[in-house]
Amino acid sequence: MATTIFSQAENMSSDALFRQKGSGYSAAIQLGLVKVTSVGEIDWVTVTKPVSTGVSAGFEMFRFDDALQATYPVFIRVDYASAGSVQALGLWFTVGVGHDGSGNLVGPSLAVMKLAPTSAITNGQTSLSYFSVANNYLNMFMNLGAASSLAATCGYFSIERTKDASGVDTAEGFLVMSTTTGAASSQWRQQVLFPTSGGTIETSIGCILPNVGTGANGSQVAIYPCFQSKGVFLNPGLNAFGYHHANITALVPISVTVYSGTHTYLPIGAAAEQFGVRSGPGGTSGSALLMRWE
Amino acid sequence: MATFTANFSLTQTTDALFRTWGSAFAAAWAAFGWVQTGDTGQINWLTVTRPLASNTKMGYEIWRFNDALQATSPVFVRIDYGSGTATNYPRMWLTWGTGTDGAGNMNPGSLETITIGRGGQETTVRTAYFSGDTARGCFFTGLNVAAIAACFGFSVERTKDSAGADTGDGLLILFGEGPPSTNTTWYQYYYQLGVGSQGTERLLGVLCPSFGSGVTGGDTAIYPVWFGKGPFLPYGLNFFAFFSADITAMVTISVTVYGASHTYLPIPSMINGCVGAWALGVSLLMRYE
Repeated sequence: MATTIFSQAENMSSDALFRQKGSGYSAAIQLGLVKVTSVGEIDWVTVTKPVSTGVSAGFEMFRFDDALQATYPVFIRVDYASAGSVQALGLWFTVGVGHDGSGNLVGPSLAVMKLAPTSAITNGQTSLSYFSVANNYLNMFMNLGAASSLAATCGYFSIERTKDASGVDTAEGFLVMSTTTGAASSQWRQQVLFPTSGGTIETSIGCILPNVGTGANGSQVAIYPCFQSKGVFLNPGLNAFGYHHANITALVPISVTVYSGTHTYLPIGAAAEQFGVRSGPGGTSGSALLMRWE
Repeated sequence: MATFTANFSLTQTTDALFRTWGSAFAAAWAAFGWVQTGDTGQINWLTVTRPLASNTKMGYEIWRFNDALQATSPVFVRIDYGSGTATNYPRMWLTWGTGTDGAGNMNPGSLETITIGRGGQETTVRTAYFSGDTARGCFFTGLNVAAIAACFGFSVERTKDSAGADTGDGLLILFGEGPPSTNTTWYQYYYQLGVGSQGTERLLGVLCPSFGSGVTGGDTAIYPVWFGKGPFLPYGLNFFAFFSADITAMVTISVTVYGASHTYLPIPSMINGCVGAWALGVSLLMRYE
């Protein structure tokens, strides 16, 4: 398991900056996942930046590296693209159970999930992208603190294996979620990939918080699991929880006991409120994202 | 534990009609096993007259739970019977607390003015379904009515521990009234005994997937109703949500909850939308035993 923070202070105004940003994200992903060499993959030495919006400049293929990968593999194609602004880097994630060596996923796969900020980060203002990766999960939040228009620059992506009732990885499938550029819970995308079938998109984070109260009671502070569905709910994953951002200091990692194990989480803080973390009663006010950070 | 039905019309154009629906609810509290107190001034169902104006209380009763926890964590409820937004619209006000002064006044720290009542009337006799015991109660009215505006549901039970056993901490109170075109017509309260409520939750605390059938393999999902005490409390037993296509309405089923088998009545899909706009096709299971 590893964590890293990728810092940027300039938008994507040149080929060099595109390469710097894209290769930076690639390196962060490879702290946990394994890059699979593919024909036609992006070349960080020669690639040029997209000249129009919503265009991929190239891709890389990654895979898990855990024991289950041998029998229940997952492959993640990441496209490095322009987003809503030609100077904003977008990341497109497409998840499947196999690939052809040329960048095409084969077998069951999910609809592409695009982190496509509508605006570029502000030159001179540091933006931080947080990565928490291991051989069996990827969890990232991009461009935090990038600009005054936070919701227009940030994005979140998570993938992990399904869990049993004890929180242990299972071979049933993969829990995938993302959100980007918006101030509503409807920006969230959830999908579950199964070895023999793709998933249906759930446009919600699946996290219910009370509308009244503070989320704290005595010495207890509540966090709220994100439920993903295969028609019925699956056991919650470990990558993301909701919480009341008034309860926990933002961006200071905390220890949380989940499924009887201690894990470290990064409270994203009020910034994540703009992403509609709360999908139950009460809208999004006061809710934020707790991101696995270890 | 008791289950029963009662037939009455939810209107009060005559004294007799007012007495009929009101006394039906009074009979329900007794059938649950609740105990009516000796507070002075309680309503007399033989002589009370109907309201002659809107939002008018015509009399009250005081009932209490009758379980083992009552000795240490007493629950009393004052129920006022009267009119809603129009003279002929029935309404009840329920005020929960830990005791009274013997003359119908609740002790300090009570949760007041929870109202149950339709913003309308139903002149046709309809069937209401009740279920309760000495420390809980729930009901639905108007389930055989084509228009959802004619139904309302209610639930009260003690808070639970992680094993589903009653605790003396407080009450989980839930009700919804027609016309329930959206989830926002439901109200939830966690009432801490003798202290008060965290506030009104104006949505059912139910999370359901927005796709799929609620069925996988041989399993059919039901979904708890969560009450907040800041964080969520262990869920209650009176109501669950389910996808109405999965279970035949009005045919009781057995469900294992907290490791024990309980009987539930699937409420018809006519209340679609009560539970959550994000979950069209969802209805409620009402504990029925």
